[in-house]
Parts: sequence; C-alpha cells; structure tokens
Amino acid sequence: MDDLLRDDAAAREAFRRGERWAMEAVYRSYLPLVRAVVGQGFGGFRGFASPADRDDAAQAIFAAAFEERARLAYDGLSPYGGFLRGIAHNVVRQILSKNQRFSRQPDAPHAEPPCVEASFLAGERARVLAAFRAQCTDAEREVLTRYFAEGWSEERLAEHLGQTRYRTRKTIAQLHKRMERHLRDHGFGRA
Amino acid sequence: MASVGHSRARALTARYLDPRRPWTGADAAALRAHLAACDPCRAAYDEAVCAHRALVGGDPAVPSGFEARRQLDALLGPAPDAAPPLLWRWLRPGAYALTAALVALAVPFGPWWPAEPPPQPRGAASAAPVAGLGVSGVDQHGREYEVLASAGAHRGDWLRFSYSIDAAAPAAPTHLFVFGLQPGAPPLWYAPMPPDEAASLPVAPGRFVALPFESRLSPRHADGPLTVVALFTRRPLTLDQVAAALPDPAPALGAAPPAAVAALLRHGLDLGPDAVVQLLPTRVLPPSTSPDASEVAP
Repeated sequence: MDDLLRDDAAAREAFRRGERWAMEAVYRSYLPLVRAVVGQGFGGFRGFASPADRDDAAQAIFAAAFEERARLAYDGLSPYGGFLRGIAHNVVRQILSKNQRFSRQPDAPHAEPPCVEASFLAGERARVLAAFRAQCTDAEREVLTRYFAEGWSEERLAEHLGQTRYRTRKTIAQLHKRMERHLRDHGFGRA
Repeated sequence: MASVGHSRARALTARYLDPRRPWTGADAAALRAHLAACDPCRAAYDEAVCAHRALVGGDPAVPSGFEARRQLDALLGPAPDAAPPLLWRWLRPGAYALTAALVALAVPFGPWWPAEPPPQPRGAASAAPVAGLGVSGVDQHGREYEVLASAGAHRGDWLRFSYSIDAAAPAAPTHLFVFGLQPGAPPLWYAPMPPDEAASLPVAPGRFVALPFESRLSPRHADGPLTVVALFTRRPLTLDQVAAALPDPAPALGAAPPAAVAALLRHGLDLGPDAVVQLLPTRVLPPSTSPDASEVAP
C-alpha cells in the first residue's frame, strides 16, 4: 500500500477519531518519511546531526500530526505523506528558530557537523559491540533481533519462542542487564 | 532551560533504553527538554542510543524497533485533546461519590466475609479517588479496545492495564496489586505474576501510566463474568498475603458482590483508609473473529 491514510478509508476514519490502532499504524507507516526529513533535511536545511535532535524532532512531528485538528484537516484525497511532510517542515522550522544552537555560524559556514554514528560503524567500538552479539546464544540473538531491533512485543516474542510471557520478560531483562554490563565494562557511558 | 538535572537526565536516558521500566510522555518530555539545552547530556544520550542500536545489530543512525515502541508509548499517552477513557470519566468525583455511596449501602453476606465492613474515617467513602485502574483489551492484531465499554474482552486477546494516581493526594499509594476473579475458578494473578514475581508492583503518581506488560486472556479464563481487582496500597502486598486473605475455597468469591469482595480484602489484608480497593466487573467473551489488521498495517 503506497499511502495508508489515502488508500484505506477505515484506517483514515479511525485515525480521525484518534483510535490507537490507527495511530500506531500511521506512526509505523510514515516513520521512514519523518526520519528522512529530520535526518536528511529539506531546502537549505541538511538535517539534524545529533540522534537526540533527530529523535526529538520526530517525536514533535508526530505529536503535531496526532493533534485532533491536524487529524481532521487531512482531506483523504491527496497523499498523506505530502500532508505529513508539510507538518514536518513546519515543526522543524519551529525547532530551528527556537534554539540558538541551530543558528548559522558565520565563521564556519561550511563546517560539517561531526557524525556521531561513525565511531560505532568501524574501529574498536564497533569491534566491542560486535563481540557482544558473538557471545550470545542463538536464542539470545533471536531476542536481540526480534524484540530490540525489530520492536516485536513481548507477547509476540513469547509466542514465537514458545515460552510464557513471564519467562520471556525475564530473558529480556537478563539480556538487557548483560548489555548494560558489557557497555560499562568497555568504557561506554562515561561521557 | 533544562527541565531536569543532569543526573536525572542520565537516569531518564537509561530508563528510555530499559525494557523493564515503563516509558511515558512525561518522561520523554522531561528528557527532551533537558537534552535540547545540555550538550554533555545530549552527547551521553547520543552515545547511549548509538551503542544500543549497534549492540542489537541495527544501524546506529536509525532508532531500533524497541525505541520506536518507546516513542510510540510516549506519543499515545494522554493527549491533551483526547477524551479521557471511560473508566476515568466514571471515576470523576461526582460519579465516584455516588458509586462509593452505593458500595457503602451494599450489604455483605455469606459465611466467609465479615459481617460489616471495617470502620472507615468519616468522609473517606465520599472523598475523591486518589487512584484508579484502567483496563483495555488488545486483539490479535494489536488493536486496542475499551473493555468496559465493549462489555468485555475476548478470550485469546490481552488485557492492558494503566493506572492513575493523584500526585496531590496526601497519602498517594506506592504499590499496585492486580488480579482477576471468576466464579468457580481460582484467582487469576496479573500483577504480580508467579513464579517470577511475588509482590505488588511499585508505582508512582501519574495519569494513565501503562503497566509494562499485558496479560493474555489464556485458557485459564472461562467465558463469563470476570472481576478485575486492583489494590492500591502504601506497602507492598505479597501473593501469599493476598491468597491468604481470599476465602477458602476461593472460587466462590467470583460470584460475590463487589462490595463484599472489597470488604473482605480490606479486612483480610488489614488495609487502612488510604488504600484503594477497586473492582472492575466485566466479562470474558468468546474469541474474537475481527478482520485481519493486515489491511491497515504498513
């Protein structure tokens, strides 16, 4: 389906009424678009460099799109993606204008912001993070992938693993503790 | 302007990535407000989320599916323009006072519960509620529905719990115990759930705070009446304590009047007037035959 809200009348009406399932479907369907706006930018804006700023902007965009007035304003004829992109641009402009951090620096107009993620993709940090996954059992890697990476619910994962929800919750908690310990033992989180 | 201190922001960052802890819109707002104004905490957040993403096998530049669920949880909390859930409307002071009066008038009966409710301070029954539990159903496709308004929840679906505790209450509850009662069946433990959990969950004041799990309406549930019981207390209750407070045989309790059940629990657990005992009568319905959500899923 190319455009959920334009093409699916039931979802559109449920979204207008603010039903949670429809709002979740909208969030998941249009999240890539919103991430593209906050990560790659538009016009003269080249996107937020910091993951924190990107997450904040994405949240603010969906919060604005989920307001009743915005939900009711969508006509259902044009693609919702375009409608949401308009909201996203407005929200980003507001964020940029409100915070001095984002104002242009005349002394360094061409400076590229540091890429926070780069250090996690190569070198010692990447090796340390990859080592954790290598230490995990197949079952733990399944939890890492399904629950943490793909965002499966606890219930769905429990069914997938053939466990009770509480056993699954315990597995998740133990794995999370090991993740924290692994990061701590390798010097992460001391910033 | 930072809304929280540095240590609180670091704690919120850890909480954001911790599947054992619930994540609310208030948490998200407090953290985002601080990060917008604090470079060191923003750098710590960036490092934490990138490490999390890489550790779970994802792209450090893209939030993980777990984070997406956290963000969704924060977004779909109590929206300012959203009508409050049915339960909360029911719990409004006026309606609550009427309900409390009706409960006070109900006459407990039966051989195993106290002949009279334990003494209450004058005015306690008509005071505004300091805490309340909300219950919604979640179907096989992840769609949520109002259990009380829908006259029940379908077997095979999940129960999702949320609670509200008045932060301004002088003796706000700090612990929550939730279980279900059905006629002819032993108690159905929801929170805590044995064998992994044995005592009430710690809770903090807030509105529509979701418990970090759902309970499946498993085959242990029979079609028919279900009373969800919430015990908001200022001390943790253990499973053994609550089990001991229920009559023997416990199955008879499922058919007892709510006022009698509340009186029994207050008496058996020695609950003071600051404890809130809430009973939500509903029904377990046959498995749902609702259409597949794939039509609307991305």
